[in-house]
Amino acid sequence: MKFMLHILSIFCCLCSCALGQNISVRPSVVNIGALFTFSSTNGRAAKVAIAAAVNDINKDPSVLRGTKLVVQMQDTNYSGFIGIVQGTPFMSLAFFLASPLCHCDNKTYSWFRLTIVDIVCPKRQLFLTGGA
Amino acid sequence: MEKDTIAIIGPQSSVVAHVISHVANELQVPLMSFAATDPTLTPLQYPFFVRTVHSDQFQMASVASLIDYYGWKMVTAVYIDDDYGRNGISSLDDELAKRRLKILYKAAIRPGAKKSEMAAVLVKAAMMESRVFVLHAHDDSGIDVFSLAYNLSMTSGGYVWIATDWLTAYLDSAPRLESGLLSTMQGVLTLRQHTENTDRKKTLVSQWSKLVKEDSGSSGSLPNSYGLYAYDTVWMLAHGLDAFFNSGGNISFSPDPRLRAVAGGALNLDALSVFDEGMLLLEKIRKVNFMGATGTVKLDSDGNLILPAYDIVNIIGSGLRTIGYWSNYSGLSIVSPETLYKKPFNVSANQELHSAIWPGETVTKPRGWVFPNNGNELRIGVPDRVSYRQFVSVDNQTETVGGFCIDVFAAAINLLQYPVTYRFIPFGNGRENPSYTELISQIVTNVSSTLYF
Repeated sequence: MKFMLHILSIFCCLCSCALGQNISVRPSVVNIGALFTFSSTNGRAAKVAIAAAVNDINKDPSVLRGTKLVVQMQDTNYSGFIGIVQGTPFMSLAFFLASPLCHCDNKTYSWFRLTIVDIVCPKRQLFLTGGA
Repeated sequence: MEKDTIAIIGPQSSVVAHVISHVANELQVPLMSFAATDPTLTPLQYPFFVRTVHSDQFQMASVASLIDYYGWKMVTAVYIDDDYGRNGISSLDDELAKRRLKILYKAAIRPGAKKSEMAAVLVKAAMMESRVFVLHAHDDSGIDVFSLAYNLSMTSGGYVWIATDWLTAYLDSAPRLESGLLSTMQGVLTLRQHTENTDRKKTLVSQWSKLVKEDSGSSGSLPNSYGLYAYDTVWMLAHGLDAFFNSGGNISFSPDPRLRAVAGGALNLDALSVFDEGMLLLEKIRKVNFMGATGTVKLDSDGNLILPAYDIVNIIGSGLRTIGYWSNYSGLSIVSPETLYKKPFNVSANQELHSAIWPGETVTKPRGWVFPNNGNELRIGVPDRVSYRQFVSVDNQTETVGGFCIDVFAAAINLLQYPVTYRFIPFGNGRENPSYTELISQIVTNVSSTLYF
């Protein structure tokens, strides 16, 4: 009897290990970001295509069942540095990139700032265009 | 945690991709770009950068194949001097070198250049020997270059323009093609990323106008290759995520200790967190294999989409005509790459394209080069003889030259397809036969002559 209990306890232990390793908790929502220049040729096509794909995926039971894919398209029309900091982790890192540099080199700082602002606000862009 | 993103679709621009790929590496968030085609954006330097479109390395291989196919030896590259343009042209240089061809002149245009600056660059390029221009630009700047080239008569007969796929991306998505715009680019050859005619593509294209209406922000554009790649990119991510969850992946984020160390706590970096199992998701994305709108979506061991191929398009009249295909598998052909994939590998299969209409509305392939404007004229020393005047003679009154040799020379020059400027220089006094030794010595001293009768 004691032996049987021992076996049982090992079995339970194995089961719990297996459960812990193989079954992940699928979240109900997964967020992805999309970064592109809405007003450009490829951006216009991409905007429609990405929305269509997300729609198709969420309707398709064979892929990501039980999880809703949500795309946060970074609209490029809202402006400013504050928006970047409040945005996705990517945007926040812009602040990180820029801040340490501004102590030592004003020019580098402004280059970074402009570059990152361009991601968010390409209408202001000075040297980046919405190309490939 | 809900707000954290586990992957980014984009960026669109190669310039931006260079900057934020470092960030993607740090935060372990896959960056899936459907439009950054700069060949130097490789997974070696940026492991979290996943290119879901073909690298310009392949596009440049197809441009070089075209140049080789038509037998041109030297080209002029006109490009936007940013990461995308510069690195694309550098790749073209490599591909041409493989075929013993070369870029004769690089005409770089400053990003954001005014039209006057662009015109100055073009005028300089026109002075060079090559008449084959490869234009690698963005759509806004590229269209400007064509309109300037048209005004400078640089899109007339004798010129060849090969535009990279920015042009088809622009023209394909334009709701209607204006004849004024197309008149500036008649006879141009351009490329389009080849996408297979899949069921999913047909469905997407047929629903496009409805989708555009739902998406209030965009103004009636048609789908282009990049749109299809963007569509497949989201599916690629969805399949990758599915595999990620199936193998026990969890979505969790933790603060980046390295960032804290750098910032020293002075900055509010709470929003920054690393995607713990980002590497697992990246692995799963790299392994996806499914039938998308563009064809089979799969990455090879170098991180490139498999089976790169391009349509070769000729702009004629009011539309685009596909004159053939280029695939990495078998080079130039008039049958679609899908047909060739089914056949055994044979890169030396007959390289063939349908005939193109060139600038100046001709089917005759342009020669591709001229004597440069700043070149010297051909100076020809003519002995002013007293004997055998039937062969060559100089009329002492009018200083005109004549005779059998001159007639043969003139007939030969007329057969050339390009102009050669030349001048006859009489030598001798006309009263006695001149000394040929003296005549020859003038070549050495470079006084006048390059050719003698």
